[in-house]
Amino acid sequence: MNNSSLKILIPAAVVTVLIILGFIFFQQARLPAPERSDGGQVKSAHFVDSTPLHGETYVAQPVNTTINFNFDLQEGSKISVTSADGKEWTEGDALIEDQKTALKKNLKQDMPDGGYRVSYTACWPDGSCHEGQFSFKIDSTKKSEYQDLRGKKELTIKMKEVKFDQNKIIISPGTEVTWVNEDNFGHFVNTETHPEHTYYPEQNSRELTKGKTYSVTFQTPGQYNYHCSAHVPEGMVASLIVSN
Amino acid sequence: MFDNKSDGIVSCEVVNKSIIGIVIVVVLVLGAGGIYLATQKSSTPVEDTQSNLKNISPPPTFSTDTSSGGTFKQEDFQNIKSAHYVSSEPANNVLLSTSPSKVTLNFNFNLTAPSKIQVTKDGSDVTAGTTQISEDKLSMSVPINANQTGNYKVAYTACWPDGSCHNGSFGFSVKLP
Repeated sequence: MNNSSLKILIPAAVVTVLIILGFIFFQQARLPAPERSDGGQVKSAHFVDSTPLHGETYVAQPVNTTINFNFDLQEGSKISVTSADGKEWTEGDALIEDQKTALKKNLKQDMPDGGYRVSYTACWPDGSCHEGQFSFKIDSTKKSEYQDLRGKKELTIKMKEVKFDQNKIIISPGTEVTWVNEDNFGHFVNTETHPEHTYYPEQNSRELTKGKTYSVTFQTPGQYNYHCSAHVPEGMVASLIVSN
Repeated sequence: MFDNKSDGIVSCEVVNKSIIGIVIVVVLVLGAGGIYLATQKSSTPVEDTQSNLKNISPPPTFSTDTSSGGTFKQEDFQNIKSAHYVSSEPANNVLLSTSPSKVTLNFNFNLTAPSKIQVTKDGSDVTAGTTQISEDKLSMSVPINANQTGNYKVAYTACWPDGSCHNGSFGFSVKLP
Protein backbone atom coordinates (compact mmCIF):
# COMPACT_ATOMS: atom_id res chain seq x y z
CA MET A 1 0.00 0.00 0.00
CA ASN A 2 1.23 3.45 -0.71
CA ASN A 3 0.73 6.68 1.23
CA SER A 4 -2.37 7.74 -0.64
CA SER A 5 -4.38 4.67 0.33
CA LEU A 6 -3.17 4.90 3.93
CA LYS A 7 -4.41 8.50 4.04
CA ILE A 8 -7.91 7.20 3.33
CA LEU A 9 -7.81 3.94 5.27
CA ILE A 10 -6.40 5.14 8.62
CA PRO A 11 -9.03 7.86 9.30
CA ALA A 12 -11.74 5.53 8.00
CA ALA A 13 -10.63 2.74 10.35
CA VAL A 14 -10.39 5.13 13.32
CA VAL A 15 -13.87 6.53 12.69
CA THR A 16 -15.31 3.03 12.31
CA VAL A 17 -13.73 1.76 15.53
CA LEU A 18 -15.12 4.82 17.35
CA ILE A 19 -18.59 4.10 15.96
CA ILE A 20 -18.42 0.47 17.16
CA LEU A 21 -17.17 1.51 20.62
CA GLY A 22 -19.91 4.12 20.77
CA PHE A 23 -22.61 1.57 20.00
CA ILE A 24 -21.27 -0.87 22.60
CA PHE A 25 -20.93 1.84 25.25
CA PHE A 26 -24.45 3.14 24.80
CA GLN A 27 -25.85 -0.38 24.78
CA GLN A 28 -24.19 -1.13 28.11
CA ALA A 29 -25.28 2.16 29.63
CA ARG A 30 -28.89 2.09 28.41
CA LEU A 31 -29.97 -1.51 28.99
CA PRO A 32 -30.43 -2.95 32.46
CA ALA A 33 -29.38 -6.60 32.57
CA PRO A 34 -32.73 -8.41 33.00
CA GLU A 35 -31.38 -11.21 35.20
CA ARG A 36 -29.63 -9.08 37.81
CA SER A 37 -30.85 -9.60 41.35
CA ASP A 38 -31.36 -5.89 41.96
CA GLY A 39 -33.62 -5.68 38.89
CA GLY A 40 -37.01 -4.08 38.78
CA GLN A 41 -40.46 -5.46 39.42
CA VAL A 42 -42.66 -6.81 36.64
CA LYS A 43 -46.21 -7.53 37.83
CA SER A 44 -48.28 -10.22 36.18
CA ALA A 45 -52.02 -9.90 35.71
CA HIS A 46 -53.97 -10.11 39.02
CA PHE A 47 -50.79 -9.61 41.12
CA VAL A 48 -51.54 -8.06 44.53
CA ASP A 49 -48.39 -8.33 46.66
CA SER A 50 -45.78 -10.77 47.93
CA THR A 51 -43.59 -12.04 50.77
CA PRO A 52 -40.86 -10.86 50.60
CA LEU A 53 -41.99 -7.58 49.06
CA HIS A 54 -40.09 -6.28 46.05
CA GLY A 55 -36.94 -4.54 47.29
CA GLU A 56 -37.32 -5.83 50.84
CA THR A 57 -34.20 -6.79 52.84
CA TYR A 58 -34.41 -9.77 55.17
CA VAL A 59 -31.98 -10.29 58.05
CA ALA A 60 -32.37 -14.08 57.86
CA GLN A 61 -33.73 -16.02 54.95
CA PRO A 62 -37.51 -16.31 54.39
CA VAL A 63 -38.84 -19.88 54.70
CA ASN A 64 -40.79 -19.52 51.47
CA THR A 65 -41.81 -17.10 48.76
CA THR A 66 -45.54 -16.34 48.65
CA ILE A 67 -47.26 -14.28 45.96
CA ASN A 68 -50.84 -13.04 46.39
CA PHE A 69 -53.27 -12.57 43.50
CA ASN A 70 -56.95 -11.60 43.30
CA PHE A 71 -57.98 -14.43 40.96
CA ASP A 72 -58.04 -18.23 40.82
CA LEU A 73 -54.59 -19.73 40.19
CA GLN A 74 -54.42 -22.96 38.19
CA GLU A 75 -52.00 -25.89 37.95
CA GLY A 76 -48.95 -24.94 35.91
CA SER A 77 -48.29 -21.80 37.94
CA LYS A 78 -44.69 -21.72 39.16
CA ILE A 79 -42.05 -19.75 41.10
CA SER A 80 -38.27 -19.65 40.79
CA VAL A 81 -35.88 -17.91 43.22
CA THR A 82 -32.25 -17.54 42.11
CA SER A 83 -29.16 -15.99 43.67
CA ALA A 84 -26.76 -13.81 41.68
CA ASP A 85 -24.71 -16.89 40.69
CA GLY A 86 -27.81 -18.41 39.06
CA LYS A 87 -28.42 -21.07 41.71
CA GLU A 88 -32.05 -22.13 42.22
CA TRP A 89 -33.23 -21.92 45.86
CA THR A 90 -36.83 -23.14 45.74
CA GLU A 91 -37.65 -26.77 46.53
CA GLY A 92 -40.70 -29.00 46.33
CA ASP A 93 -43.91 -28.29 44.43
CA ALA A 94 -45.47 -24.90 43.81
CA LEU A 95 -48.36 -24.65 46.29
CA ILE A 96 -51.68 -22.93 45.62
CA GLU A 97 -53.36 -21.75 48.84
CA ASP A 98 -55.88 -19.27 50.28
CA GLN A 99 -58.90 -19.87 48.01
CA LYS A 100 -56.49 -20.32 45.06
CA THR A 101 -55.19 -16.75 45.41
CA ALA A 102 -51.74 -17.44 46.94
CA LEU A 103 -48.85 -19.06 45.01
CA LYS A 104 -46.12 -20.39 47.30
CA LYS A 105 -42.86 -22.30 47.10
CA ASN A 106 -40.64 -23.32 50.00
CA LEU A 107 -36.98 -22.28 50.05
CA LYS A 108 -33.92 -24.42 50.74
CA GLN A 109 -32.03 -23.73 53.97
CA ASP A 110 -28.70 -21.88 54.26
CA MET A 111 -29.34 -19.12 51.72
CA PRO A 112 -26.28 -16.81 51.81
CA ASP A 113 -26.38 -13.01 52.04
CA GLY A 114 -26.97 -11.29 48.73
CA GLY A 115 -29.61 -10.41 46.16
CA TYR A 116 -32.28 -12.84 44.97
CA ARG A 117 -34.48 -12.69 41.87
CA VAL A 118 -38.00 -14.12 41.98
CA SER A 119 -39.55 -15.11 38.64
CA TYR A 120 -43.07 -16.49 38.52
CA THR A 121 -45.68 -17.71 36.06
CA ALA A 122 -49.31 -17.35 37.13
CA CYS A 123 -51.90 -19.37 35.20
CA TRP A 124 -55.66 -18.65 35.12
CA PRO A 125 -58.90 -20.60 34.59
CA ASP A 126 -58.94 -19.86 30.84
CA GLY A 127 -55.50 -21.53 30.48
CA SER A 128 -53.59 -18.32 29.88
CA CYS A 129 -50.40 -17.69 31.86
CA HIS A 130 -48.59 -14.47 32.71
CA GLU A 131 -45.04 -13.88 33.95
CA GLY A 132 -43.73 -11.54 36.60
CA GLN A 133 -40.52 -10.79 38.49
CA PHE A 134 -39.29 -9.05 41.62
CA SER A 135 -36.24 -9.02 43.92
CA PHE A 136 -35.30 -9.17 47.57
CA LYS A 137 -32.08 -9.26 49.60
CA ILE A 138 -30.70 -11.06 52.61
CA ASP A 139 -28.30 -9.05 54.79
CA SER A 140 -27.41 -10.79 58.06
CA THR A 141 -25.30 -7.88 59.35
CA LYS A 142 -28.47 -6.31 60.83
CA LYS A 143 -28.98 -9.38 63.02
CA SER A 144 -27.22 -7.37 65.77
CA GLU A 145 -30.48 -5.39 66.19
CA TYR A 146 -32.20 -8.60 67.30
CA GLN A 147 -32.32 -9.84 70.90
CA ASP A 148 -30.88 -13.36 71.14
CA LEU A 149 -33.33 -15.46 73.17
CA ARG A 150 -32.26 -18.88 71.90
CA GLY A 151 -32.27 -21.91 74.16
CA LYS A 152 -35.72 -21.30 75.69
CA LYS A 153 -38.57 -23.77 75.36
CA GLU A 154 -41.24 -21.11 75.90
CA LEU A 155 -41.40 -17.36 75.49
CA THR A 156 -44.11 -14.75 76.15
CA ILE A 157 -44.50 -11.56 74.12
CA LYS A 158 -46.79 -8.89 75.60
CA MET A 159 -49.03 -6.78 73.42
CA LYS A 160 -49.04 -3.58 75.44
CA GLU A 161 -49.46 0.12 74.63
CA VAL A 162 -49.98 -0.74 70.93
CA LYS A 163 -46.60 -2.51 70.71
CA PHE A 164 -45.14 -5.99 70.82
CA ASP A 165 -42.82 -5.62 73.83
CA GLN A 166 -40.09 -7.79 72.23
CA ASN A 167 -40.35 -6.96 68.56
CA LYS A 168 -37.01 -8.24 67.22
CA ILE A 169 -35.91 -11.55 68.66
CA ILE A 170 -33.97 -14.70 67.75
CA ILE A 171 -35.31 -18.02 69.06
CA SER A 172 -34.35 -21.69 68.74
CA PRO A 173 -36.35 -24.16 66.62
CA GLY A 174 -39.05 -25.76 68.77
CA THR A 175 -39.69 -22.67 70.91
CA GLU A 176 -43.35 -22.04 71.77
CA VAL A 177 -44.09 -18.32 71.57
CA THR A 178 -47.18 -17.02 73.41
CA TRP A 179 -48.64 -13.57 72.76
CA VAL A 180 -50.77 -12.02 75.48
CA ASN A 181 -52.87 -8.87 75.13
CA GLU A 182 -52.48 -6.47 78.07
CA ASP A 183 -54.27 -3.53 76.44
CA ASN A 184 -57.95 -2.67 77.02
CA PHE A 185 -58.75 -3.10 73.31
CA GLY A 186 -58.34 -5.89 70.77
CA HIS A 187 -55.09 -6.95 69.12
CA PHE A 188 -54.16 -9.53 66.49
CA VAL A 189 -51.14 -11.66 65.60
CA ASN A 190 -50.95 -12.03 61.82
CA THR A 191 -48.25 -13.24 59.45
CA GLU A 192 -47.14 -11.30 56.35
CA THR A 193 -48.48 -9.83 54.16
CA HIS A 194 -50.95 -7.27 55.38
CA PRO A 195 -53.85 -7.97 54.88
CA GLU A 196 -53.59 -11.37 53.14
CA HIS A 197 -51.70 -13.20 55.93
CA THR A 198 -50.46 -15.96 53.62
CA TYR A 199 -46.72 -16.31 54.37
CA TYR A 200 -46.99 -18.58 57.46
CA PRO A 201 -50.76 -19.13 57.96
CA GLU A 202 -50.11 -21.09 61.19
CA GLN A 203 -49.33 -17.70 62.78
CA ASN A 204 -52.78 -16.09 62.37
CA SER A 205 -54.95 -15.27 65.37
CA ARG A 206 -58.43 -13.84 65.40
CA GLU A 207 -59.05 -10.82 67.60
CA LEU A 208 -57.50 -11.18 71.08
CA THR A 209 -59.33 -9.18 73.75
CA LYS A 210 -57.63 -8.16 77.01
CA GLY A 211 -56.01 -11.12 78.79
CA LYS A 212 -56.43 -13.50 75.83
CA THR A 213 -53.40 -15.43 74.57
CA TYR A 214 -52.30 -17.04 71.30
CA SER A 215 -49.43 -19.53 70.91
CA VAL A 216 -47.36 -20.84 67.99
CA THR A 217 -44.43 -23.26 68.04
CA PHE A 218 -41.80 -22.40 65.40
CA GLN A 219 -39.68 -25.16 63.84
CA THR A 220 -38.22 -24.14 60.47
CA PRO A 221 -35.23 -21.74 60.65
CA GLY A 222 -35.87 -18.42 58.94
CA GLN A 223 -37.38 -14.98 59.41
CA TYR A 224 -41.07 -14.50 60.32
CA ASN A 225 -42.43 -10.96 60.07
CA TYR A 226 -45.84 -10.34 61.65
CA HIS A 227 -48.17 -7.54 62.66
CA CYS A 228 -51.33 -6.59 64.54
CA SER A 229 -53.99 -6.16 61.86
CA ALA A 230 -55.74 -3.44 63.89
CA HIS A 231 -52.64 -1.31 64.36
CA VAL A 232 -50.39 -1.49 61.30
CA PRO A 233 -50.67 2.30 60.75
CA GLU A 234 -49.47 2.76 64.36
CA GLY A 235 -46.41 0.63 63.58
CA MET A 236 -47.43 -2.43 65.61
CA VAL A 237 -45.17 -4.78 63.64
CA ALA A 238 -42.52 -7.27 64.72
CA SER A 239 -40.13 -9.90 63.47
CA LEU A 240 -38.73 -13.09 64.87
CA ILE A 241 -35.88 -15.20 63.56
CA VAL A 242 -35.72 -18.95 64.16
CA SER A 243 -32.06 -20.02 64.17
CA ASN A 244 -30.03 -23.01 65.32
CA MET B 1 4.71 10.98 -5.37
CA PHE B 2 3.52 9.43 -8.58
CA ASP B 3 6.84 8.97 -10.37
CA ASN B 4 7.40 7.15 -13.62
CA LYS B 5 3.93 5.81 -14.43
CA SER B 6 1.61 7.40 -16.94
CA ASP B 7 -1.14 9.71 -15.60
CA GLY B 8 -3.90 7.30 -16.65
CA ILE B 9 -2.57 4.34 -14.65
CA VAL B 10 -1.87 6.41 -11.54
CA SER B 11 -5.37 7.91 -11.36
CA CYS B 12 -6.83 4.45 -11.95
CA GLU B 13 -4.83 3.09 -8.99
CA VAL B 14 -5.94 5.98 -6.74
CA VAL B 15 -9.57 5.33 -7.64
CA ASN B 16 -9.13 1.59 -6.90
CA LYS B 17 -7.62 2.32 -3.45
CA SER B 18 -10.42 4.75 -2.62
CA ILE B 19 -13.01 2.17 -3.59
CA ILE B 20 -11.32 -0.46 -1.41
CA GLY B 21 -11.24 2.03 1.47
CA ILE B 22 -14.92 2.85 1.08
CA VAL B 23 -15.82 -0.85 0.88
CA ILE B 24 -13.88 -1.52 4.12
CA VAL B 25 -15.66 1.36 5.86
CA VAL B 26 -19.04 0.09 4.68
CA VAL B 27 -18.25 -3.46 5.89
CA LEU B 28 -17.14 -2.16 9.31
CA VAL B 29 -20.22 0.04 9.69
CA LEU B 30 -22.44 -2.92 8.78
CA GLY B 31 -20.52 -4.99 11.36
CA ALA B 32 -21.15 -2.33 14.00
CA GLY B 33 -24.81 -2.34 13.03
CA GLY B 34 -24.86 -6.10 13.42
CA ILE B 35 -23.37 -5.88 16.92
CA TYR B 36 -25.91 -3.19 17.79
CA LEU B 37 -28.82 -5.33 16.61
CA ALA B 38 -27.46 -8.41 18.41
CA THR B 39 -27.24 -6.60 21.76
CA GLN B 40 -30.60 -4.98 21.10
CA LYS B 41 -32.17 -8.39 20.53
CA SER B 42 -30.78 -9.84 23.76
CA SER B 43 -32.63 -7.14 25.68
CA THR B 44 -36.04 -7.82 24.17
CA PRO B 45 -37.37 -10.41 26.67
CA VAL B 46 -37.90 -7.71 29.32
CA GLU B 47 -39.46 -5.34 26.83
CA ASP B 48 -41.67 -8.14 25.56
CA THR B 49 -42.86 -8.92 29.08
CA GLN B 50 -43.64 -5.30 29.70
CA SER B 51 -45.53 -4.87 26.48
CA ASN B 52 -47.48 -8.05 27.28
CA LEU B 53 -48.57 -6.41 30.50
CA LYS B 54 -50.48 -3.84 28.50
CA ASN B 55 -52.71 -6.63 27.24
CA ILE B 56 -53.67 -8.12 30.57
CA SER B 57 -56.96 -6.40 31.15
CA PRO B 58 -59.72 -8.95 31.67
CA PRO B 59 -61.49 -10.09 28.52
CA PRO B 60 -64.46 -7.88 27.74
CA THR B 61 -67.71 -9.17 29.12
CA PHE B 62 -71.05 -8.27 27.72
CA SER B 63 -74.57 -8.18 28.99
CA THR B 64 -77.59 -8.62 26.84
CA ASP B 65 -80.46 -6.27 27.46
CA THR B 66 -83.41 -8.41 28.42
CA SER B 67 -85.71 -5.69 29.66
CA SER B 68 -87.39 -5.38 26.28
CA GLY B 69 -87.99 -9.09 25.82
CA GLY B 70 -84.68 -9.80 24.06
CA THR B 71 -83.11 -13.25 24.38
CA PHE B 72 -81.28 -13.69 27.67
CA LYS B 73 -77.57 -14.52 27.45
CA GLN B 74 -75.74 -15.48 30.63
CA GLU B 75 -72.65 -13.40 31.28
CA ASP B 76 -69.37 -15.06 32.28
CA PHE B 77 -68.13 -13.15 35.35
CA GLN B 78 -64.58 -13.25 36.72
CA ASN B 79 -64.45 -13.91 40.45
CA ILE B 80 -62.00 -11.18 41.52
CA LYS B 81 -61.28 -11.95 45.17
CA SER B 82 -60.31 -9.50 47.89
CA ALA B 83 -58.01 -10.65 50.68
CA HIS B 84 -59.70 -13.19 53.02
CA TYR B 85 -62.51 -14.00 50.58
CA VAL B 86 -63.99 -17.44 51.28
CA SER B 87 -67.32 -17.75 49.43
CA SER B 88 -70.48 -15.99 48.36
CA GLU B 89 -74.21 -16.61 48.22
CA PRO B 90 -75.22 -16.65 45.35
CA ALA B 91 -71.95 -18.15 44.11
CA ASN B 92 -70.08 -16.72 41.15
CA ASN B 93 -71.66 -17.51 37.76
CA VAL B 94 -74.67 -19.46 39.07
CA LEU B 95 -77.87 -19.31 37.06
CA LEU B 96 -80.90 -18.99 39.38
CA SER B 97 -84.53 -19.59 38.46
CA THR B 98 -85.83 -17.60 41.44
CA SER B 99 -84.94 -14.13 42.64
CA PRO B 100 -82.46 -14.03 45.53
CA SER B 101 -83.41 -11.53 48.24
CA LYS B 102 -79.86 -10.74 49.33
CA VAL B 103 -76.17 -11.18 48.54
CA THR B 104 -73.85 -12.52 51.26
CA LEU B 105 -70.05 -12.67 51.23
CA ASN B 106 -68.04 -14.83 53.66
CA PHE B 107 -64.49 -14.09 54.78
CA ASN B 108 -61.97 -15.66 57.16
CA PHE B 109 -60.98 -12.44 58.92
CA ASN B 110 -62.63 -9.59 60.86
CA LEU B 111 -64.61 -7.22 58.66
CA THR B 112 -65.08 -3.63 59.79
CA ALA B 113 -66.97 -0.56 58.59
CA PRO B 114 -67.13 0.82 55.92
CA SER B 115 -67.26 -2.59 54.19
CA LYS B 116 -69.89 -2.46 51.46
CA ILE B 117 -71.57 -4.54 48.75
CA GLN B 118 -73.09 -3.00 45.64
CA VAL B 119 -75.16 -5.00 43.15
CA THR B 120 -76.01 -3.72 39.68
CA LYS B 121 -77.99 -5.01 36.70
CA ASP B 122 -77.19 -3.40 33.35
CA GLY B 123 -75.41 -0.64 35.25
CA SER B 124 -78.38 0.20 37.51
CA ASP B 125 -78.09 -0.18 41.28
CA VAL B 126 -80.42 -2.92 42.57
CA THR B 127 -79.33 -2.92 46.22
CA ALA B 128 -82.33 -2.40 48.51
CA GLY B 129 -80.72 -1.39 51.80
CA THR B 130 -77.41 -0.99 53.61
CA THR B 131 -74.66 -3.61 53.98
CA GLN B 132 -74.74 -5.40 57.35
CA ILE B 133 -71.71 -7.08 58.94
CA SER B 134 -72.53 -10.29 60.87
CA GLU B 135 -72.10 -10.66 64.63
CA ASP B 136 -68.95 -12.78 64.21
CA LYS B 137 -67.57 -10.22 61.70
CA LEU B 138 -66.89 -12.98 59.15
CA SER B 139 -69.62 -12.15 56.65
CA MET B 140 -71.55 -9.23 55.25
CA SER B 141 -74.80 -9.08 53.30
CA VAL B 142 -77.03 -6.62 51.52
CA PRO B 143 -80.74 -6.93 50.49
CA ILE B 144 -81.34 -6.71 46.74
CA ASN B 145 -84.19 -6.28 44.32
CA ALA B 146 -83.45 -8.94 41.70
CA ASN B 147 -86.93 -9.69 40.40
CA GLN B 148 -86.00 -9.52 36.71
CA THR B 149 -84.25 -11.93 34.38
CA GLY B 150 -80.72 -10.73 33.76
CA ASN B 151 -77.07 -10.62 34.79
CA TYR B 152 -76.23 -9.18 38.21
CA LYS B 153 -72.77 -7.84 38.95
CA VAL B 154 -71.61 -7.74 42.56
CA ALA B 155 -68.81 -5.30 43.52
CA TYR B 156 -67.65 -5.14 47.10
CA THR B 157 -65.19 -3.41 49.40
CA ALA B 158 -63.92 -5.43 52.37
CA CYS B 159 -62.34 -3.41 55.19
CA TRP B 160 -60.05 -4.70 57.95
CA PRO B 161 -59.46 -3.75 61.61
CA ASP B 162 -56.90 -1.06 60.79
CA GLY B 163 -59.25 0.60 58.28
CA SER B 164 -57.53 -0.62 55.12
CA CYS B 165 -59.97 -1.82 52.40
CA HIS B 166 -59.76 -4.07 49.37
CA ASN B 167 -62.05 -4.56 46.39
CA GLY B 168 -63.47 -7.64 44.76
CA SER B 169 -66.21 -8.49 42.30
CA PHE B 170 -68.20 -11.39 40.83
CA GLY B 171 -71.63 -11.98 39.35
CA PHE B 172 -74.61 -14.25 38.96
CA SER B 173 -77.61 -14.52 36.67
CA VAL B 174 -81.33 -14.89 37.15
CA LYS B 175 -83.60 -16.44 34.53
CA LEU B 176 -87.19 -16.36 35.66
CA PRO B 177 -89.57 -18.96 34.15
